[in-house]
Amino acid sequence: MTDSDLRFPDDAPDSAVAGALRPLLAPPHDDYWGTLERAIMARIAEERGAWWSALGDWARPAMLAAAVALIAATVLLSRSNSADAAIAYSAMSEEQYPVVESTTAAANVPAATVHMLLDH
Amino acid sequence: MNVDRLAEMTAIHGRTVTDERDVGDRALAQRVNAEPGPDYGALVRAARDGDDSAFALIVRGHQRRAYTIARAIVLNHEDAEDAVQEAFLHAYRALDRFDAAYPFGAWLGRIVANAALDLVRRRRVRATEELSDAVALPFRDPAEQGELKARLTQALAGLPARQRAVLVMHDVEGFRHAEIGEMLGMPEGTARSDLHHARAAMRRALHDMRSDG
Repeated sequence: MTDSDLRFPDDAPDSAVAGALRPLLAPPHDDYWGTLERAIMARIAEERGAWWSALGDWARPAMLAAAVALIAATVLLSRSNSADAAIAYSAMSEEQYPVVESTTAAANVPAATVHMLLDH
Repeated sequence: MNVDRLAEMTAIHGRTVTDERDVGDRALAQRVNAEPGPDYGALVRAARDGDDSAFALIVRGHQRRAYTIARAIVLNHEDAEDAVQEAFLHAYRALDRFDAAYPFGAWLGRIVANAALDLVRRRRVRATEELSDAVALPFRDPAEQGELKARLTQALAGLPARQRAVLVMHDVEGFRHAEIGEMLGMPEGTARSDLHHARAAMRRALHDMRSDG
């Protein structure tokens, strides 16, 4: 059996119980609803005010922090670019050509050997 | 938002929600329960966009029911007022999460019930005698009125907070079992069972009073 299978003869509201309960649950006076509405809307206005004032309090330091972060990021980016350029230049200027040197050296070996043998 | 647009959104079958007393009778409460009246989806959208007058109309249309539910759970006026204010504040913060496909009254009812149950958990239920003395029962004899009030109050306070909530949501506010289950986060059958037990306790209190009289 599931919960929805349970059936009590309670689908219709009990007017006697409701009638007895209503006065117990009534607000202290008849014109209370306007008071409650104003109190709720004051809380809402307070909430909105708190949000805006919190934003105002944080806006100035936040903008300052953002500006500092932007400057710092720019400087770091600039330095990083300079370092990359220096490394690339250095790498190009110090680059060796071993194949050419090796070929030249290899080509000269037999001639040198011949000269040495003839001299002796 | 212009006033005409708000008036158009809040029209209920030729009536306008100007005060909670407009929805006091059961027939109208049940119609509001089915939400054929104010376009709460439009009011919520306007309130989300920062229109406080739209939110004020939402408050005006739902505060009586919210108060009754909260009062049934926390048992005294001061805590009920706190719970209702907290609930509307919570609802205001959560407007972005409201699904227009869902009945606004049930969504708000769940928030109110949770706010009131939280308050009960935090403060614990106050002593029965702390119930407001401002209530008035329709009995001319002060002694009889005082006696009946005391017995009903005792019977109500003797119920678990959830059963009180179910009893009031169903019998006073006209919510259906399925809606109550949804609002209180429990199966429909549990809502039925809670109502059965709560009613039995209240009927006993009423019967004892009549028998003694």
